[in-house]
Amino acid sequence: MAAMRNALLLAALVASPISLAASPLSLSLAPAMASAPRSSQDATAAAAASAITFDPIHSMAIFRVQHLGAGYFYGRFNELTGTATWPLDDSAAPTFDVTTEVKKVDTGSEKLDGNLQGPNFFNQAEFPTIQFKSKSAERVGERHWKVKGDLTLRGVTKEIEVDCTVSGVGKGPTGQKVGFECMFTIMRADYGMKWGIEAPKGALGNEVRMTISLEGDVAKAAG
Amino acid sequence: MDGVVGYIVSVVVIPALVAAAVASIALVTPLRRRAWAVECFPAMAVALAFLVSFTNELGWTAVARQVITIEGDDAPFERWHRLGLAALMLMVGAVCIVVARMRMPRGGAPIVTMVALGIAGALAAQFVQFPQPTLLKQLGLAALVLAAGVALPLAGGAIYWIAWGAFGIVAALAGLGGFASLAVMCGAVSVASLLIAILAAIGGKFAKDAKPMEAAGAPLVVCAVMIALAARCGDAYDQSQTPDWLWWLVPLVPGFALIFTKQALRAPSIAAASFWRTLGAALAGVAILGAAIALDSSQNAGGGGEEEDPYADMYGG
Repeated sequence: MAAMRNALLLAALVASPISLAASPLSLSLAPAMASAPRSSQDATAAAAASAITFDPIHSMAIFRVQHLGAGYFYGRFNELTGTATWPLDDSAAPTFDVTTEVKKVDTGSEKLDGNLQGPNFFNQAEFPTIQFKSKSAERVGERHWKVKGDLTLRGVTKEIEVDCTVSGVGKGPTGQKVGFECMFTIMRADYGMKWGIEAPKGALGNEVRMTISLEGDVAKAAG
Repeated sequence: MDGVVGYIVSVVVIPALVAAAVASIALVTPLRRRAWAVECFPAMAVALAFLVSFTNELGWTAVARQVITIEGDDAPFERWHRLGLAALMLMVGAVCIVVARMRMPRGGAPIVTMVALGIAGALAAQFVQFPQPTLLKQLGLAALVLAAGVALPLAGGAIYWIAWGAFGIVAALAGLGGFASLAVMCGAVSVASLLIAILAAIGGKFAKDAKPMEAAGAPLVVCAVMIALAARCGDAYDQSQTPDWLWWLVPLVPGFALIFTKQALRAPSIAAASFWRTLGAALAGVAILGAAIALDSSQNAGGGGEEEDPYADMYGG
């Protein structure tokens, strides 16, 4: 009912150019209008897709890379930020726009964090953020999607495929929460991060496996 | 070959040996009697050491990408890669400076050096920009080139001994700051400078009418520009606690040769004079390095211990 009321309110606002132009609300409504669906069927689906804002404290990315051809080294990026959309009934694919700052890398060693932020690796001074933006998705199973999107790392943007599972829908003191766990693998040399692959040979592996855990707050329905 | 050993051979040993081979053309052959050769080949060799190290690590595309678009190349443009191009330009510049100095009438050679240094400083400020460039930073870079150019003549005949130390300090600071590539590249130049200094000493001892090494002309411009650029680059990407002012002191290290001027002037031989000059610069270098390590250690120690969990209040929510 609330979703239908929102759709009707939106339709009423669209039909009234005077109120849009005159009202300061016009600015905040603009993005919603840009993505406003055309048919009523779409409207129902779009209204059902919840907007999710990630909670940086409970969202992080863990990376794994082989060290000296022997053990796996793990590190993480703390405080992921961004948004997603996903209907809680899993009737449509999720979309993601996730960003982290390179300076949030955390290996448990300040020295190593500094090395990773340096020009041989993430080059924080020139490329301070890493971003993933989804473009399309394909259902794999219940609450399980293969999401395609662009990963921008060190100024290089490449399409990757992310295996994404909805880890759960829960309730916290601030409202409804949704969690996702996403995994993908990249070759870091593709992003110009070549140190330690050939020179020094085999110091660090080329293949980097990423596991991303996202938890976000579902936007409360207006009205 | 072990990975790390192979890497050091590729990016330090081979570039230094290539540079030494080029410098030896003038230093241990009959060309040692020609002032232009003694000025040109070792100066080119210093820049060449950096270039070979740079290309051995990053490939020629990292240099070519600076000036042309390479089909199929989607690697990111990184500002510090301009150092490779700068080294290449300095090799060409060294030849131009030598030719210009030769063609100048008597007494005109220092003017060529000063003009070349001014042009090099202006070009560096215009074309070599590191992250978050500002007008002030670029003017600072030009000033740093000029300051190094003023400090280096104080090294006198010990220019390559002092270059050994100055590039060694940049290499150590870069290593401390987590910039392994700059560390090995400056390490290569440092070793190359040491080999050049040794070859110059040996060649000078055995060649008749050998021309002495001088901190003037091409060697002055090449060393001044490279030390200033490397120090500024290291500072721009530094991840350690080394303060900016310590980085900015490095190009002035050759000027500390002044400390033992009296001893250098009274020295019985060129080698002894070089020793005293190098000692003065070395003391300054050790002081800079010691300060950087001490500051880095104290900062890390200050942040140690049980850190307060900034998210402690979240768990209860």
